[in-house]
Amino acid sequence: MNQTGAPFIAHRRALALLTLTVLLATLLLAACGAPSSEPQTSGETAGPSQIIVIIPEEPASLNQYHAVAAIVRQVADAVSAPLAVPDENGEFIPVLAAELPTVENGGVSPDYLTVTWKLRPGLRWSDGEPLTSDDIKFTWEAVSHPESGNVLALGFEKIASIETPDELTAVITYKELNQAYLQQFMYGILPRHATGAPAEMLQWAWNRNPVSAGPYVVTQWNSGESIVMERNPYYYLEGQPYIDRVIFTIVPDPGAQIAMMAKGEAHVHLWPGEVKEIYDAQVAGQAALQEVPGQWNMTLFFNLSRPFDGDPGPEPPHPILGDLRVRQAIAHAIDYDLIVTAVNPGTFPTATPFAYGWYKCDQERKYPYDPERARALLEEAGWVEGPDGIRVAQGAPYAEDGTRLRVQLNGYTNFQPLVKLEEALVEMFRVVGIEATIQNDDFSIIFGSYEDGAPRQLGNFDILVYDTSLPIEPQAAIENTYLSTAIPTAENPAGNNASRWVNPRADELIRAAGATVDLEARRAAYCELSELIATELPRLNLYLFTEGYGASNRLSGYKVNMWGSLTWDIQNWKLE
Amino acid sequence: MRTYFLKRVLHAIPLLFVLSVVLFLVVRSAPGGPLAQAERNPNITAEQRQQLRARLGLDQPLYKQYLDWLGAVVQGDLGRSIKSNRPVAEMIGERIPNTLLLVGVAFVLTIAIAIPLGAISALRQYSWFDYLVTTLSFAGQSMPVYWLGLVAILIFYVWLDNPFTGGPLLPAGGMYTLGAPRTLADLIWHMILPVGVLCATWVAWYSRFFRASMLETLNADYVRTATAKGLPRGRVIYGHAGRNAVIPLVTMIALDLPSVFAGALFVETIFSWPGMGRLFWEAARGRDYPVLMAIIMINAVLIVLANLIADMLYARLDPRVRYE
Repeated sequence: MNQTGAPFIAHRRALALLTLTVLLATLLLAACGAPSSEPQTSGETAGPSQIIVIIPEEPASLNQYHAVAAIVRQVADAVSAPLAVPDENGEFIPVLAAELPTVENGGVSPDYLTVTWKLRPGLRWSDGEPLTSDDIKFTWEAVSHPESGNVLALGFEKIASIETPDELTAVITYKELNQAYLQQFMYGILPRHATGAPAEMLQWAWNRNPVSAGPYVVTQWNSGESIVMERNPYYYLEGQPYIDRVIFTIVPDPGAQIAMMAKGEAHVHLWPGEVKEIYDAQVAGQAALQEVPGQWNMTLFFNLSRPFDGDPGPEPPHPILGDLRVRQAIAHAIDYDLIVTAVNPGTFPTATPFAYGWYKCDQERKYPYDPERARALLEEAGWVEGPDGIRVAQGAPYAEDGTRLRVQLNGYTNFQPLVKLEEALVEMFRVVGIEATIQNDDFSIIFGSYEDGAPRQLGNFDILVYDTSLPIEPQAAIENTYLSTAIPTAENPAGNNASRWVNPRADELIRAAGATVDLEARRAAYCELSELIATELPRLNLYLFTEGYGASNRLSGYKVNMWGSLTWDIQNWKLE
Repeated sequence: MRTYFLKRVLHAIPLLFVLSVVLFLVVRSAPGGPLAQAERNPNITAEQRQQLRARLGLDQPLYKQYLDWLGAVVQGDLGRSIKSNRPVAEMIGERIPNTLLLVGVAFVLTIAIAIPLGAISALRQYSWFDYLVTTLSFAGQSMPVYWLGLVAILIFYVWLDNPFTGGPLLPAGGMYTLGAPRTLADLIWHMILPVGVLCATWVAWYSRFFRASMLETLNADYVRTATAKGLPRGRVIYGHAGRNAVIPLVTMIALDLPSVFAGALFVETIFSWPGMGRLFWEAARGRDYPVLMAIIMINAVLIVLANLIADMLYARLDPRVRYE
């Protein structure tokens, strides 16, 4: 080292200087001469048609069975091969299936335990291999494998066997009732020949480069940057998709996203997070926000049990919110019209968790805006006005005399509409003598697990404020949210009955709905439950957010579907 | 010197070990967990979430999770991401070149611009040039980088058009033009704005720092002596004042060097640059523990190394410093 040191260092120094000079020179050159090297940004060239889709984050995988994050499906539907999907009205339509199995066409046995799926003839995977009923069978084998890493509750464990009498027919025999049989393969079937062992599903190369039966195939995945897809030559619809190439580009910053839409460089903008008037003005006539009422239902969750008592169970009652009259007063204190018109404009009022889908209930508000009534109820409940206008307990059933009528609103951070709503609620509550404070935490805290000490799971909160949703097949979610056995405790840490609501009639209704496939009977049960919720107020539903995306004016043929992802109908998109 | 170097390296091992324990505890004590997203997904039931916890080993006692992690890491296995289930080493490997390119080029340019600026500014103290540089550096230091980035996009992407193509003058972000062949020219084209924004703030800091450092040495006795004994002005400035003024700068550079690997979160986010800063941010938001720990530990190693390098460079630059 000593002998070679000096020349070595001299050499390195020269090299570094050279590199620096070259770098500077190229930068300067680029600054002056780059116009010639800048390729076309619009899709108007004679070459292949191309659209650019802005996504704010990168999907971890395109295997929907591993999809914990919502972004996965938004991208993966472009390469996915479902048998049937819900359309924009929430009704299932066949995709790779020739028709929907029903009792009428013999596809479903009268006891609903045997379902026969028929594939369209001549289907092929994107590598040219035939797509057969054996792939349906393989999907069941793979997803139901304990090591598969599947996170979706689709009832695959209820399947006893799948017979494949011919290449187009799969006969599924269920061990028990699966109310969601149409949903069984809506996240796509998996090719046996191009994936791998079910036990290694988490590590399949297929997850990021799937052999597809959807409209597109992945041709490039530049981590953190973009996912490039080209049309699948073997797609079953003749002449579709219409657009040759789709590029999903990961642009995390909202300002940069808007700039790209306003410049007309990008054509689709997922999750713009802006109300329509503002968005449409920002993108300067190049695009517009396309939206429909969505699944996300803004809700106040009242804690009916005492917080911070070390007991996550329903007893003893919450000193303030344990009294139904106080919850009624809160409901009467809220100016619902003001909220959907001024506080969170562009939202759709609703008074029920069952606000959409085949199970939609027409629920009226039991306790409409009426501050006078709210005050009277609070007086009656033993909360009298204190010197500063905020009420204090005097003979309230669960609170010691002198307790201040103060509740905390818990929401999550980084979501402006939520903050605006909370601020409005604080004002509205004060009018009737209730003091409210706001405590918003990171998403991962609010939605953390029991073991992580999440206040929602431990019951350490007054009122949670956030948006929640129901899937198209809601029974499992309803059971885990409203059954008295679903209160989160150490024994049942994943329970979702955060309000600690115990109602024997609700339990009865939920169990009855779970025992039948008759949709009308189920809907009737859910709507009676809706009535109970609106009356007893374990929670108070406020409004639905709209769902949708920004779309370039040059794009057509798309339909916004609250049940589907952005790309559910990408095969129909056209670029002018 | 060599023994000293080896001794320092050996000292670093227990230090890193203790650091890993502390960092592991810090990462885990952040409220929430990696399954919060699952909680928001209406298609994932509580039962599935519990299974997921068990599969990820999150139901194990903390010390056991740490030992499992440590055992794998000392064998060179950084584990797999909770979110994507891909090897962490692979994910980091994809991002490091991008970050090195962006932050590395910005860093080199910063030094190349800031040192002459600071030096000239110091040599011509109170001249119009000095006032210009100090004013600009004040402005550069005061402007938040995310604001500067958005303004840059507004000016160079939204407002200004390229007179030849009619398209935007500079791209809003990304590393390459989407759907076009990936060329070096295209890459450099995409680097202008993010590198420019990074440089703007860094040059402000470094030039100010070097100006102060240079002023101090220019007024030192040994510089006066050198001038008095008739040395040419160039030798005085480069050989005596400049060389001594560089010493404090070395510490600053050495301590900033790990950030070349850590990435620049704001600039990467605004300019959609797929670098380490964003990977870290995404991992932190999603509580992707294996990815978080890997990045934090790599940074810890780099900081320890950078300090060592700074001390070694001291010995080279300053003959008074000797290590035994």
